[in-house]
Amino acid sequence: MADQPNSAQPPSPEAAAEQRVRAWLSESRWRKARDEAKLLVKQDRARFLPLLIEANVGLTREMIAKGLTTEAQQVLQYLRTIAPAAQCNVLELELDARSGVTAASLPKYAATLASPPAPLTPLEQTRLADLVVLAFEPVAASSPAESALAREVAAVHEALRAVSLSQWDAALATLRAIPHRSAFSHWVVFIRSLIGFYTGDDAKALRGFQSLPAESAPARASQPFLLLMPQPDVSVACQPASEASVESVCQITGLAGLGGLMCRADKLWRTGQFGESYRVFRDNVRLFPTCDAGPLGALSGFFFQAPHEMPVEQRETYLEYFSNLTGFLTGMHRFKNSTEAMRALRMLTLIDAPFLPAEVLQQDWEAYIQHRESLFGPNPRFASLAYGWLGEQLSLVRPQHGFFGETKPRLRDEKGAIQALQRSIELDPDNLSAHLQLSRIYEALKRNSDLNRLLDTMTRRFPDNKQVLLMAAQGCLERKAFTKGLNYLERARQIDQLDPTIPDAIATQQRRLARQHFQQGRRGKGRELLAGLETWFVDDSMDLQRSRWAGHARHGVMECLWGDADRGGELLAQARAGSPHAAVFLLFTHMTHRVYANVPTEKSPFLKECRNAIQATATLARLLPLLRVMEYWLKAPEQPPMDREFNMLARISTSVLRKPFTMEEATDALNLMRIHHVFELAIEDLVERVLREDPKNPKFRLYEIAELGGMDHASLENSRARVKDVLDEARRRHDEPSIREATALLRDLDRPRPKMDFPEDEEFEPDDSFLEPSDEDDLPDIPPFPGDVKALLEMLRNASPAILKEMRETRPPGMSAADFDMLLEIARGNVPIPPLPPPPPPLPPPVKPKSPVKPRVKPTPPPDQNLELPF
Amino acid sequence: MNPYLVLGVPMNADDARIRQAYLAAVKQASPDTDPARFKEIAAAYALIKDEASRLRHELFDTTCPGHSPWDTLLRNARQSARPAPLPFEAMKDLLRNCSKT
Repeated sequence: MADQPNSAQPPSPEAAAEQRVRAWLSESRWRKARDEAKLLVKQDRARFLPLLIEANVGLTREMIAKGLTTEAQQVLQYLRTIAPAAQCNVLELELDARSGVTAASLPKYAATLASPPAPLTPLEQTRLADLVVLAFEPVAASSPAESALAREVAAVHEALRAVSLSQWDAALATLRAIPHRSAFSHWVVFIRSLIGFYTGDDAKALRGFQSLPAESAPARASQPFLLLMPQPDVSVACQPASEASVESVCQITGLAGLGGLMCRADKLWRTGQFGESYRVFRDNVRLFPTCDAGPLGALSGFFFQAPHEMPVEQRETYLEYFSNLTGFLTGMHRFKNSTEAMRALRMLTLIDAPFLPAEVLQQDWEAYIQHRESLFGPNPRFASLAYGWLGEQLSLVRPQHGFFGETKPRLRDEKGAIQALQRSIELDPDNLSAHLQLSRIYEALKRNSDLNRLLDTMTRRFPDNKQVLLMAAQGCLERKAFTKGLNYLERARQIDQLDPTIPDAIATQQRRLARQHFQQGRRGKGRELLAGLETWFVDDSMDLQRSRWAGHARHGVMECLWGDADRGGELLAQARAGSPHAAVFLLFTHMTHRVYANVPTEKSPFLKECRNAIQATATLARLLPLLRVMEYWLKAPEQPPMDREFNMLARISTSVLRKPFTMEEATDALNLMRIHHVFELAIEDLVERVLREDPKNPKFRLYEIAELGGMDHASLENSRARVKDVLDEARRRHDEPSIREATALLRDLDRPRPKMDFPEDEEFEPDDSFLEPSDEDDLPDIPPFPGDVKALLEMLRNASPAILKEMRETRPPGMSAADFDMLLEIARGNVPIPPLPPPPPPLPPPVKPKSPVKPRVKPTPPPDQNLELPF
Repeated sequence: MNPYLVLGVPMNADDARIRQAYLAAVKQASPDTDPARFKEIAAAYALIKDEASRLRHELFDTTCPGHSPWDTLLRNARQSARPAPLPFEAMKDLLRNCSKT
């Protein structure tokens, strides 16, 4: 039986030690390998001496590489006692070359390489070849072998010179003189790879660099080039390996001498010392920062763009450094150059724009524009965009509460915003967004004449812009210039024939113009215009803008008021026949009449019939179109007070909810009833009924959580869990609107609340001057709303003109200016208090059903079924 | 992203030159052969295709070109055109210094 290794037996201590030594040698752990090999040599010199020699050779080379010359000499001295002389010769040469191979010492290297006394290992051959090449001296040949060597070395030098002159073909031709098995073949590979690098042949360069012998000089020299090449498996966000490698990269990229600074700056940046990092370059590189396109420009850009992506708490100190440079405390800036000023001001303004006082924002931004001009020359388009942005920032709206609890828009800096945008337009009349922003400001401030003038200018400058034409048409509608408005709308329609809002707008303007004609006795023209509207009629009976019956209803009212009453009656009859049902027609016509005739509810001839029809509304399905009619009039420009109509609908809403309704109807009802507070109780009732039948209904649960006090303010976690539960159910039901609503609510709950934990500073005086009104339109202190009418009248009697002005401007939407003035006159005793109208009848209490069977909500059937549960 | 580097055009390039560079770049990296690169090229072109876009980019761009100074230098170099070869003396110094490390 042949001997077979018994795998159960452990290796002998000697064998184990040998394994360890070999492992360490392969890992270049020379000391460990040497120490262990020494012990092994004592046991079996012949067998283990080569390991000891290898370890010492490696250790010597390591010390030479680290510059530990004395230590290397000591090891070499020991090595001479155990290794052949030939093996030590090469090491001696390497040690001697530590301070460079000179012209005087070159011959011995060349001789050893050309005619080695003993065969050289591949590593030794490579090292000697590298030393000879890196001497960059011609080799004096004293033998045929040395002559060949000298020619090859000269070829390498010549090729490198040709590469430095971008003479690629010449370099490649020179390299052909070097044979394939030459000691310098790795230099040939290196130079070809260099050519690949400089000519953009990345594949060739990468292949060549990665094939170089690991311990060779070209392999080490290839590292910076490899770093500069796109490599998917090399992380770009890596730390620099060593200052030498960084300096090499800097040399190649044209930043010679900055390697040390780069290492320092990079380390500071990575340890969070951002300002110090910037100062390393700022204080030591004359041209830094710069706007040039090279690597220095890229570095400059980095330092001024980085704060935009930093967490807020990390960047404060960094930004403070640049703030101090602006000289906001001393009045004198300390910028190094215009580039630094320009970039710093831009960075600070963009980041701090929401928090800066308006005048500081304006000042810094204008300084940025000026610095940019000083560097690159004036550019009106650029300046226009910049001023446009400034105008946008200064026109941000700050909510302001008026006397009756309404908000009046207050801009951050009204005057500054308008000036900035006017400047923007002046610099570039083609800047559409500046025009649009300015028009929005005029609209918010109700500066109608300025707005209309601007819109007229815009229609001339941007004749083919649909948005401009639509805005101009809206402006014309508001100032009753209907013919002009219709021209704009027709032009807009030519640009976009598919936009459905344009026919709506045309219908509105045409009707208004027709009404104007009727009011002024030009019935024929009015009828002609209304006949022309037939083109825009649609089949959807609930499209109150353009359905046929609604159009006939409006025409009928006009005829009744200003035209032919009989004709009006016919039109109304047609409208009634075409409407979804009588109550819808009556409510719509009643509201139309009120608006056209400008009369209160009780003066409408349709009121009685309308009220009766509403009261007869028995089901939710019938109520919904009525709510849509009210929704339509709530959004109409000529919106009259509608409290009585809403009250009528609210009165029947509780009773209709007792009748069966589908889930679809319930969902529509929830959406529509939200339009007015009078339906609050009805909504609560609706939500309760739906959730009783379908406790997991996402839409209604969300409403309950968000609106009916279901949010747990004490614990965000509880609220979050509830909303998450709803979201899961919505996903299960594929209820997309509820998914969106729940996701938005979760996002709102998850939004981090900022920690307002500023340290107390006794000397700190908060500067909220930007919150205070300017001198020119100083807002008065408005007292709180009094609880009863007597107190209100007393206050009005005693209020100053400024307060009265503010109260008048912030009156509720349902109160006209004339009503307010009358109230004021009553307060002053100039007008007797008119008798109050009788209070509306109280809403009937909800009647509990007597039947033991509770009313059921009809669930919406799933798509593949059509079930209807019996009541 | 620096769109000028992506398209390999100088910062003072005009509309025509940028468009030319864009067309050349998408020929090399079409949506079928290299969709990620194509997306990058298309995004870069959208940012600087005309003067108004370029000016807006200059005014409002807030993207950071790197994670640190060293990272920025490498990224910039990798996207830029290759630098000119080092002069011979500088090349010698580089090779000698590298051989010592």
